[in-house]
Amino acid sequence: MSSNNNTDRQSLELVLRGISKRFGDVVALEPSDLVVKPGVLLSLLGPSGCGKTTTLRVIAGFEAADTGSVLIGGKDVTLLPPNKRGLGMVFQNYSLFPHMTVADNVAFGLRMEKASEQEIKRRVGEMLDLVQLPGVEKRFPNQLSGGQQQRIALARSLVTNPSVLLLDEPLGALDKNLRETMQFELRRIQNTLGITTILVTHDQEEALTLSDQVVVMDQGRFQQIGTPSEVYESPETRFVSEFLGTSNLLSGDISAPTDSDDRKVTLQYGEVKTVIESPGAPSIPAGPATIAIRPEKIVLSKRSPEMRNVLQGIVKGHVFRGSYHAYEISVAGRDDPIFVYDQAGERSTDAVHPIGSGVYLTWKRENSVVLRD
Amino acid sequence: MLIYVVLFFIFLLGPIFIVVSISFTETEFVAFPPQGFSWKWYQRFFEYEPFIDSFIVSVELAIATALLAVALGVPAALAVTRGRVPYANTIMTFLLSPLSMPLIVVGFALLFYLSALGLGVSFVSLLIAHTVISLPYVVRTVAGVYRGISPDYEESAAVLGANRMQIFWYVTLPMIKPGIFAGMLFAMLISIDNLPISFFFGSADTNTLPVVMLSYLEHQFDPSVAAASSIQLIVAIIGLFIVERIYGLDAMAPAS
Ligand SMILES: Nc1ncnc2c1ncn2[C@@H]1O[C@H](COP(=O)(O)OP(=O)(O)OP(=O)(O)O)[C@@H](O)[C@H]1O
Ligand SMILES: [Mg+2]
Repeated sequence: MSSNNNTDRQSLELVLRGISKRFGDVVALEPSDLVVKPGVLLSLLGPSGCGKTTTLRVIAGFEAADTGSVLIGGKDVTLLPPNKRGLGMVFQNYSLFPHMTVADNVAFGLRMEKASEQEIKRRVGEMLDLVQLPGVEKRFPNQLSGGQQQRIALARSLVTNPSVLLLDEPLGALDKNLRETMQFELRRIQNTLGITTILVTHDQEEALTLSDQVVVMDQGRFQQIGTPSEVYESPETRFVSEFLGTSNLLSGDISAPTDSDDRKVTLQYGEVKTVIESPGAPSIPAGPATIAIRPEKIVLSKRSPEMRNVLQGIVKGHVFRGSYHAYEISVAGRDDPIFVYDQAGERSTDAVHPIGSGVYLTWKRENSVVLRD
Repeated sequence: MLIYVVLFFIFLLGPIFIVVSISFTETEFVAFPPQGFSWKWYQRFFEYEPFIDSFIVSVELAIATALLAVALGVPAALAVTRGRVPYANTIMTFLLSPLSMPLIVVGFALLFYLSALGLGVSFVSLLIAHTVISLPYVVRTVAGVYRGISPDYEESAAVLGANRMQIFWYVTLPMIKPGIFAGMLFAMLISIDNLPISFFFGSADTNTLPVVMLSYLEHQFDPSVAAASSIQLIVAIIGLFIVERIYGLDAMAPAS
């Protein structure tokens, strides 16, 4: 790839078309499609072994996909080896070359391109400024802290102006405080360069706070693709709902889809039947279904509210969590408790609803999310 | 604990100490404890042509063996450890197999084989034979070091635009250097010390020092052999010292 004057290579679109990969009997990646728009930071989020690294390695060219193709900026790179794809990649353990100084590490990509020493010096300086570590050129990687190594690894991967940046759990090895600092750093650098970025993580919070787009993966399948608020507020499957944090799941019977954007889910708790209203979800057939309601979307009241979606329960537990009250509420005829997070309006650590008291639970129609299994 | 140290000294270092001290005796025969002090047996070593000629052959052979074993062993170790080679384990076992065969058998077989190839008794045959028995040491130390290095380094280099040759030259080679160095040293020590193989390929100008020492001992039993042993020992110690200074002896312990 001729890339001598690549200082302003623009960020490119990345497309996966029907990509799949198996290792023997293990299906690491089901046939999957993905479009990452130029300049977007997209997270691949999922539990261990779901195929995140495999997806990244297929994009980088370390694994040949069994089916499908990889397109970068509209160009099919499926058959190109990794060194011809013009990508940047940061590995979990940074993998800085231990026998080279920081400057030589950062310069590596430029040397492979046969850039002039003058150009190399300038670019290395620029990169170290970008990651806010000027002046460490002469040090060796083992003379840097974990966070500093992380920044150098990032600088090394960006020095060649790659069209797409791939990050495999780049913050996984850092402690919690440093992690948060580096998350902001990463986002700042990504914004500055406007580079198309794919970030692999199994940390929900990291994915939701850092990304423009999130892909939730499970068992080699892209379960849902959307903005952080889409996947968080409107999970489509039970897996997504559970993986993205505490959700109350209510199982019942859903009415047939209609033209009006309205579905009714009947819950049966003991003798009591409750009808819950929820928005459309036209792809879900009539019959057994699960709806998810986030704890912070439920409102508690002592008197029966004038609303549609109402359940009745008894407060079983309460903790104050700094910014909200967490209640555990049991509903007669239902095995699992329902969790409710009530914003602490008054600055009081005391429960508004004491343990043992009866309460009504209610939420807005659009907050009942119908899930696919 | 102390008792182990004492036993260690008695059984391992004791004989070495005795040989070295005998080499300085003034007497015409092997005597322990040595009597007086003189360099005359060293003088004899350097004046007796078969000794000094075979010493030069031994040193040249050891260096050539080490270089050849590295040239052949390093690519093999890399390919078998991480290349996508079919039957990698089988090939590895095969490469290490000279370790588990009696050297007499290897020497005998190689003599036949190399004679059939028309190489007969020559320095080249000797070099091939020594390389065969040193190769396992190089393969083992290099594979051990290489296995301990995460593939991420090479993959990082690839993403940064390096082709296979550049990856090897700029990343893999510097990182496996301790293994190569240790393997080379092993190969030299194995070669310089070897008797059973060298014995089959002995001739006026391919006799190695151990072969000459053995035949010398058959006729005479004077302290010059002790001086020859001490010189061999010094060569080995210098080798170890160099490795120790550059890498530390840890590098010689193959990582499992
Ligand atoms: N080289 C390989 N050979 C055989 N199986 C593999 C290989 N690489 C991955 N797998 C399998 O493919 C599946 C997906 O692996 P992958 O590494 O992509 O998961 P991941 O989502 O990155 O997990 P983690 O969060 O633990 O890193 C796993 O079941 C794994 O065991
Ligand atoms: Mg992984």
